[in-house]
Amino acid sequence: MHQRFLKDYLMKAADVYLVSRFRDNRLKYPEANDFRIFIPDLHLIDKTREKVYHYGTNYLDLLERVVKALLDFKRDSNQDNIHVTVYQVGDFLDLWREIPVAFSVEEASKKLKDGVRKILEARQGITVLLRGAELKTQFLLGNHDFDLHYIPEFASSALRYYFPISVQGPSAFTLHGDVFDLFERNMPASLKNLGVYIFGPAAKPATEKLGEFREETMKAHQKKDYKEFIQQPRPANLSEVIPLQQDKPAVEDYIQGDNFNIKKVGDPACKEADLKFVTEAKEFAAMVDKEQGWDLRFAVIGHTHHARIALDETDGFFALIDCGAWIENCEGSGKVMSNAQIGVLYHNDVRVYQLKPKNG
Amino acid sequence: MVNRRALLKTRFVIFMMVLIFVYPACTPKKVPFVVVREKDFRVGPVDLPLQDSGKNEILTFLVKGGDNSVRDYVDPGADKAYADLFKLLSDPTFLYTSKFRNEGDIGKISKILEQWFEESIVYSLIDATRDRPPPIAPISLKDKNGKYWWVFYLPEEGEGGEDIKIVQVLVTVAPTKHLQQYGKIR
Repeated sequence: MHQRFLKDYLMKAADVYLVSRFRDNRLKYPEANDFRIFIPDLHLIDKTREKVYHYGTNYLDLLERVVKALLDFKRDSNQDNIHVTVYQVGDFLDLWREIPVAFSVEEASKKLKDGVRKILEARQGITVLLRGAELKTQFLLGNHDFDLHYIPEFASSALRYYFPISVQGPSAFTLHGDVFDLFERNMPASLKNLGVYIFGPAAKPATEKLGEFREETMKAHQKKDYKEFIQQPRPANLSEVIPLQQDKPAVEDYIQGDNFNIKKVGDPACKEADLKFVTEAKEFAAMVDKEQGWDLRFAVIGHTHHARIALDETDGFFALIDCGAWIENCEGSGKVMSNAQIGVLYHNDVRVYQLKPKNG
Repeated sequence: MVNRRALLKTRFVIFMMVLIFVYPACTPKKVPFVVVREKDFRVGPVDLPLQDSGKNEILTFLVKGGDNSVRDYVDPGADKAYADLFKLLSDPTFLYTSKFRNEGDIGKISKILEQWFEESIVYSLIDATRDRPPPIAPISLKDKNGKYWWVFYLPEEGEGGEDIKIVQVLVTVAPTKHLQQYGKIR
């Protein structure tokens, strides 16, 4: 099924690189008629706002082609009784970069609904595809678009999904990932929003007060400078990536064994960024397991803009699949690329792919 | 001799009092209403008293986070959170307007329901799935989690009176939800 998806759909839309692959029964995801695809952070804003930032959503044309391919795949798979579920893992829109903080409830409400509307209309192509009734994308709320839950048309957006629904209970969950980030949790939303909106464009603070405010914002955000980036000051290091060929879609032809480019807790070769949030996600899962009597084995997140699969086998088993982003950059096999990743899960076999426009 | 200043002052006071009392009577009133959402975002109407099948229908909807198209758990804690409410809705002796409402104020819920619902009752409902509005509007209660409205229907025939039976319930996603970003994990 993975091969069919790659050869007949994804590789027709894009050049595909394998970032990471993990196949293991410990994922407890043996479903033979259940295929899940995870589209990570897109951070869409309207075209006027896009001009004032030094970065933006990558390869929008490619994204539309890929989503059309997913729609074809879902349609065809339905006929074979295979359920295909597509998720968008949060930060679909970037309300922090689009909408300034307002100083009254009425003003905030108006700015929110007008801001959302502007983005959706400016990005009509991808919006119609992703939010259409046939693809039925399941949206998660991210930190940059959490306020979408106030908008009636986004009634379906959720904070978490646990799956699959089964007698034994789900083995997996997906969420944006910001809940694991202490700094996101501790900073008030209005401060975060203002920081991104004002300090995103290349503007210097005009008054001493604004300067102090900027200092506090920067301190709390670990010296992140929104002029140049959101999450990654430098391209996220993916280590090795493998370009896949359309006439050779089986990843087994490229790698030894079942797994490729897995970051493991306790491995001295792994950097801190490679293992970010594995411990937090594992603790989160343990908390839910205790309350529900489940046995969650892995989580799929976005948020960090760093595609990877990380394992914690120090006490039991837990896997974190970070499906990356479509904004900012990555570096794989010594080559810098614009982030354009997706996560794919089927039959105890989970992968993250990096995409590029064909012949581009 | 008439004190001209005092007269002017009296006339001014009378004028202001008229303005204060007449103005509210003339301004448009805002009456809250509830809307029954699209098919994917509602469940019911389910007959009351609640039987197992009706309870499972509502619970499945809540566990899916209020979206029938979703194939996953969104709110797995819903079973525990609403267990006692389902018990009440299965009890025929509870299903009367008097039990749902505050004795002194029919705009407010009874104490027993405060665990799940916000205080104010909304009596206006827009339901485009019907041909016409119900003759007497249902009792609509906002879920404390901010996500849902629970709409409790009265019978569409009968003599009325002080205590009317509640015969059906529908749960619909609120037009705007009020979620806690980093709230208690369920």
